[in-house]
Amino acid sequence: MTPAEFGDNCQRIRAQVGRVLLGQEEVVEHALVAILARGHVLIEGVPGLGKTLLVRVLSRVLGCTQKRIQFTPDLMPSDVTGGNVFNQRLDQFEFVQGPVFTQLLLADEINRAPAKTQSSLLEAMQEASVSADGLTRPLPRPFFVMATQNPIESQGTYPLPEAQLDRFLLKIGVEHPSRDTEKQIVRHHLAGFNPSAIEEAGLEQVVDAGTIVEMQNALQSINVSEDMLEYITDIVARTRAHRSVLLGASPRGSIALATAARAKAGLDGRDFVIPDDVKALAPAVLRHRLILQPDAEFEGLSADLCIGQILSEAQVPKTAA
Amino acid sequence: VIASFFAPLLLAISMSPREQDEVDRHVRRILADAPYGFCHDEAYPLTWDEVEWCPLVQDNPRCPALEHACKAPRAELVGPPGRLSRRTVSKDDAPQQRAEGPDRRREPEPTEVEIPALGGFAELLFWFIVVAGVLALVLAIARNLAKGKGPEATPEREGDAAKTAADVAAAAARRAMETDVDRLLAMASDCAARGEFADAVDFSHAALLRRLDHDGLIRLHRARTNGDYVQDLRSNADLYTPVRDALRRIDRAQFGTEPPQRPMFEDIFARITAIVKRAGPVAVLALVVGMLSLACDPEGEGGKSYPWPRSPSGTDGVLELLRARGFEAEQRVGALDAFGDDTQHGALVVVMLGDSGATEAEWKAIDEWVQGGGRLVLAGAHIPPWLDATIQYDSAADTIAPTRVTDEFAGSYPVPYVMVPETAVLSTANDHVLLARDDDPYAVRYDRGAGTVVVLADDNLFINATLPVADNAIFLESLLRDLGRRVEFVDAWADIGADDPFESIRRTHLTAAVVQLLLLIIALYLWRGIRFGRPRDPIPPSRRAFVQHAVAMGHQYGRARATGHAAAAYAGWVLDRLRDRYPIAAAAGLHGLAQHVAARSSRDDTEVMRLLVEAHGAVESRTGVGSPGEDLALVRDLGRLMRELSFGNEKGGRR
Repeated sequence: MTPAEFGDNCQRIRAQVGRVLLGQEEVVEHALVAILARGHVLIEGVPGLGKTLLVRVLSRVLGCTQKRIQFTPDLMPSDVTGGNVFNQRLDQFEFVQGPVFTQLLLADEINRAPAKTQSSLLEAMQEASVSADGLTRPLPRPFFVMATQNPIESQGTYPLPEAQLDRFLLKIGVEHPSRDTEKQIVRHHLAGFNPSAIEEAGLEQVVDAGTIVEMQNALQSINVSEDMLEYITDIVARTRAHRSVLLGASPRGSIALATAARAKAGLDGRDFVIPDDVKALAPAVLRHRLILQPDAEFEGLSADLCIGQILSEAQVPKTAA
Repeated sequence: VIASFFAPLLLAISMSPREQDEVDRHVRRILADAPYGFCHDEAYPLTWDEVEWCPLVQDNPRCPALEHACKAPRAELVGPPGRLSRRTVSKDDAPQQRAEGPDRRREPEPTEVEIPALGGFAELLFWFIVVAGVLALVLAIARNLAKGKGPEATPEREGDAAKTAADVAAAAARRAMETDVDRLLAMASDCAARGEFADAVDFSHAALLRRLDHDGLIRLHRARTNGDYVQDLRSNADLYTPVRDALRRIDRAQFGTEPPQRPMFEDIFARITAIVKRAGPVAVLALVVGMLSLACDPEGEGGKSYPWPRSPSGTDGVLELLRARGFEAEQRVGALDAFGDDTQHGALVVVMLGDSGATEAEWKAIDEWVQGGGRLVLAGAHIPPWLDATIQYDSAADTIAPTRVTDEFAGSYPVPYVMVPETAVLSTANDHVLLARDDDPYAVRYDRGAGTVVVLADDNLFINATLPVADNAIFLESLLRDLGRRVEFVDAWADIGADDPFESIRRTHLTAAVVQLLLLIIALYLWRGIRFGRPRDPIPPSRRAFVQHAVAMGHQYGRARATGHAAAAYAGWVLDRLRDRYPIAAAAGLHGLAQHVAARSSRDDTEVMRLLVEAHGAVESRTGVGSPGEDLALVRDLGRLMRELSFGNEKGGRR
């Protein structure tokens, strides 16, 4: 697949999704980056911003299957992965697949389930397979998880540990749309759009699962120059040296940044990564990988502010300044 | 008898009718030009002096609008007198009556404001600073020139295929240090000539960004990407697309899979050169437009301007006529005491107009020049003591009577009279009267040494207003032709310019201000100059850590010996932490908490209870537990307890 074909596919996907999902261009782009980079996305935002709709639209446009799990405190690991159930007719145990056996999975309010249940999903995300009773079952390709968590409520939640957060390629904060965008959304609904029946929205399937996998493989041919590697590692190293950061990003963060930048380059139809790709994705890749100093948090600093400072100081390769 | 016999012959020799027609044709052509607005604009604002010409220009085909302009509102003069003055329309609708009193042109000069100039040591210091500044400038230029030759002086790069990291760093440093766009482009060309296309692209990239930065279109910074720069140009429709396209190609050359080759470099270089040439004019145009908008007259004049040199009182039309008739005519700007070698041949005619003047030394030099063969016309100018003539003003004179050529000179000029406003005549014992009004002389001629001096009562014959009137232009040309072919008009602005910038500063009495400014620059240089002079990253805004605030507050308490306050604060913090950690035990009050803490720390219940009660008492009283020693003992005991409970091992707990 040539870079132009790659970029053209992505452009058509974005156009189709944009017909239904208004004012969420950045979220759509990040979701595509994560899918192409074989990563997963953690979305932090209040309910009602179109997260479920995004997954359903993506599954329609990408020609992939999709499922949704509502995480609750009593959710068990087997409710996610599936388990062996005794079949009385056959007089034997047989494996019943859980909802994780899909291509696009929306894990809604992931922090409402206990750590054990969360871990079962995170293992699937990391290994792209499910182990039960000594057998490892591969998940369908592509496999993409979009997990959400509500930033407001904290009662009765189980925050994801840092080590598990690190497994998400991107963490995206979804804000309320602007007033004009919200008017467009309302107008769209008043005109007859029904989010629960997107089949009637006239969306076209742009690619299929095989093409997505082909595009994932094509990322390997996208060039990341030595200068870009230097830039990426410099940014990540600076997260470790920043005075307000207690624990900076790990080497997995560097890998994630490079991989995501590659996907962004492919998305734009290029076969090479440029500093703009890295700079655009660094906040989403790094914000959930930093632990701030307690005093920095007292002073109201956030991971985004620290990353912004780092990006405003890290020297861009081949700069004239 | 002889004179009357030869008069027609001399007349014919001095100027033929064909030549007179030629003069008339030139006058009509000159006055037909739009800049001579008084002949085209019926609302042209005339000054009070120019209105004196009105009775002489009735039904004048050469200048048809002037008659109507006489009825228009009068002009008000703004700015310095003479050539730089600007006329505006009087706010009154109707023409006003001229104020009684002396002629306005003869009013005294405005009072000068004397500002003391520096002398002695201060002047020495001034020159020292100027010389030092010039030397520093020359040194900086030489250093920059030496840097510009840097790439040519690196022969070791020839054939060096595998560049070391040090080479790359050096090239990057050169790009960052060099800010001159032309030099960066030259470096790019040099690199391309050596086959180093990657460096060539980098230098071209730097040139583009520097140009945009110099023009204020982008903010160049080492942490900004090409995408950021393109975003900066979003509001600039002319540059946005070409810069974006060029930067995309540069991105491909710098980060792409294939190293840049000549075609790629040439494409990039051509695009950048086009942008660099365009960006400058765009910025300059914006600057000029801005300055013009600022310079606009807020009152507005309907777009009309009335430049003095082409007004009725100006002399541009006369000079133009003389040039058309073969004279070398110009306005004199040089000194009046140095007319050069030309005077030896008598070819130069100096016409000193009404507002001109000369110092005593200059008059002396002029006299020597005249006696050596120079030709001088004093048209209403101050008359030097070595000529026995004075000017007498008569504002009540009849303004339409002709000023006739006397019999003595009737044969020398092709016209018998001229028409000028009668506001002045001469009083002189000289018999060689050239022009006369009734019995009063208007122009007389002196022979002085080998030279000639013609004195006129005013300069009306030499200003633009004279051109359309009667045969004044023909007489004027004949008068000057009789004297010479090179004519210089002298007005108040002659010899007013300084010979050098220092003279200019001295004349404007700005020496003290300039010295102070230079001293200020030196002070600024000594204070911040090194930081300004070297490119370096901006100092990041410093932020104190929370622990530093806590330590600072502790020092404040220490200096104030506020042991009770410190003990109360620390005891409160300890109790809060214990209650947070053991919420169930804390629910049973201090006793339950003490039992739980004792079990965890292997201390005696009673001892822990005593400690917690003291801590609680310190919190309640806000003044500690007693003496400073007791307060500090409580703080130490609580600190030990917290360490035993492993609070110190928590992140940030020790703080």
